[in-house]
Amino acid sequence: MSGRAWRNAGRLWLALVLLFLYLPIAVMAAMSLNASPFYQLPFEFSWRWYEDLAGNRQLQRAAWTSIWIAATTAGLATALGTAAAVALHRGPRGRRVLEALLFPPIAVPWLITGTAMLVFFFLVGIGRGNGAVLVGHVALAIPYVVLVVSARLRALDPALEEAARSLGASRWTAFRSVTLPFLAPGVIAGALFAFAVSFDQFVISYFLQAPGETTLPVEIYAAIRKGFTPEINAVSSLVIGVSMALLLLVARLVRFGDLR
Amino acid sequence: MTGEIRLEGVSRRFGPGAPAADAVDLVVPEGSFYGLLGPSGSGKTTLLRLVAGFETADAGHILIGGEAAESLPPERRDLGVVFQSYALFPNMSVAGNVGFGLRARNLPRRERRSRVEEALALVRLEGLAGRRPHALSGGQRQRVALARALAIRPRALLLDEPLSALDRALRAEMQVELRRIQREAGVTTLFVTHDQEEALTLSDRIGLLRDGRLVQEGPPREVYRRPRTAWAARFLGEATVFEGTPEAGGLTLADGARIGWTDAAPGARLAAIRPEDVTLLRLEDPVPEGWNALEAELEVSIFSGPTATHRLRRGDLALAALTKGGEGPAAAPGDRLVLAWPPERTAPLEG
Repeated sequence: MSGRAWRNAGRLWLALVLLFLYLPIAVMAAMSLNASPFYQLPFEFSWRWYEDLAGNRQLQRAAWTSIWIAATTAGLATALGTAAAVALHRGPRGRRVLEALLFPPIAVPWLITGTAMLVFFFLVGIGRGNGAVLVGHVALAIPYVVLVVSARLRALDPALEEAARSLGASRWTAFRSVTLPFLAPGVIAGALFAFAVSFDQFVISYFLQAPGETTLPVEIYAAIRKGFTPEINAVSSLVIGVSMALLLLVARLVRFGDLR
Repeated sequence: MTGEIRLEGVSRRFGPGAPAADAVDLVVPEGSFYGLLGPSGSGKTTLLRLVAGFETADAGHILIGGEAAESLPPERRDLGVVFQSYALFPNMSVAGNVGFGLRARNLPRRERRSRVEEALALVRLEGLAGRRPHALSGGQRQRVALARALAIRPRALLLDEPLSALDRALRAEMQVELRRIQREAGVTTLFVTHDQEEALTLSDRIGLLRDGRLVQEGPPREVYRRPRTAWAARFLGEATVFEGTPEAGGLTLADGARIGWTDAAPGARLAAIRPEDVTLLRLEDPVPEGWNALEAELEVSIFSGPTATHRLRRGDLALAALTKGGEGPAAAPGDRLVLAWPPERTAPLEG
């Protein structure tokens, strides 16, 4: 085959992969705007399911719970994760071991992590509830923040902080006025990651929630078991829209970070 | 005394192996430009970092302006540091960078502005106050780094290979600029480089570092003319080194030839000459009265415009001579020539 044919074959392959990834989502988004509750074609445009959603108190409450837990998770995990990344970057004794210990929480199946957390939280008296969910999500999100911020730290010229010190800035002032602004793209990307990790989390939330207080993914799961309505398509489409917007923002920030 | 830097028996060791600083005694007199020269790994940057306070000495004392500095953190040493990478703050404009140290000192806004302008004028970057570092050329970044270090009116200036990131032409220009700026600011300067020519050009005094030890120091001319060891002779430019048996006022080589010097150096077994001190003669040319003369075989002549380098061989001994590009006797590789030089140009060596 000629180079051109290879290139075209490559493009076709890429198109197929993208189709595979996005077609189900696109179908769901389309069905959330279809008037028929039984996915009947022809497609008939309607805001009906979004209107229903606006009246669904339970889903809304779950959405708000998800949002505040995700936002708080993002704040806490970013602060803790950034501090951890900076500490690791200074090269303490046992740095390699500490770094290696960051990865298992990402690799271990959530089902197992969730069970472990549930057992542990009962043991130490935290029990179940939104507090437990929050702690679980923060623990889960920290490694992501550390990874993203560490990548940025590797590009940091150690002389920057030294220059600030030699000019009269204390250790803290040097960090705040020079290092932190340099890390900002990584820190913001880490925060968005943490938000997404928490917002999309199902298993851990399911294990740690007290009855009656649910996050959105758990509520959706419960709703599906009761009987599927296109209302779920509507709320899922909204969630996907928000998640994609966040991820695009992350991609942009990370790329910006590399450029500078 | 306000800007003098004094090191007394300063040592620093990182793990096993040669120490980065080994009992270094060194004085940078107030207002002078001191070039610390050594190959990579000789510990020159460590010495600079010890003075700046980024490293802590295992032993010895560091005095800045007569004041003990060992226990002061970097931010209280009042030194301007210019880094090899310049380390300009990417999130701040040129004016923000230059004014950083003044903000850290809580100077009032009006004074900050006038001192930033003054520092930018000193480095001739008046129009660029609003630029970001990434929008500057290498030479401009270098100037901003210098202005930032000088704006705080430091007790002394520390420069870590400040010109090594610049291309050759720009480097030559910045050497002149650096010296002008240092003179105008009248600031004591400790400068670290691995570039011999740069150290010789810029410094009032140079110090040669090897394996953490200060091997020799003095005015550039003196250190160049009278290296103390064979290593110093070879490191600071090119040298032909002779080894022989000591005798009164010189030494005798293994093949019986005699090398004379005028220094009082009883018992020296080694001596060095610089290629540019050697005159090349044909065998039949008369040798000036009292000069040293050695016959050798020409191996190759390398013409490089204004100068030509000639490599010669006498038995196991490799010799070099430097002439003006178009001068010297017409000779081809394999021809025998005479290297002649006045005895006061011979530098007897230790070791």
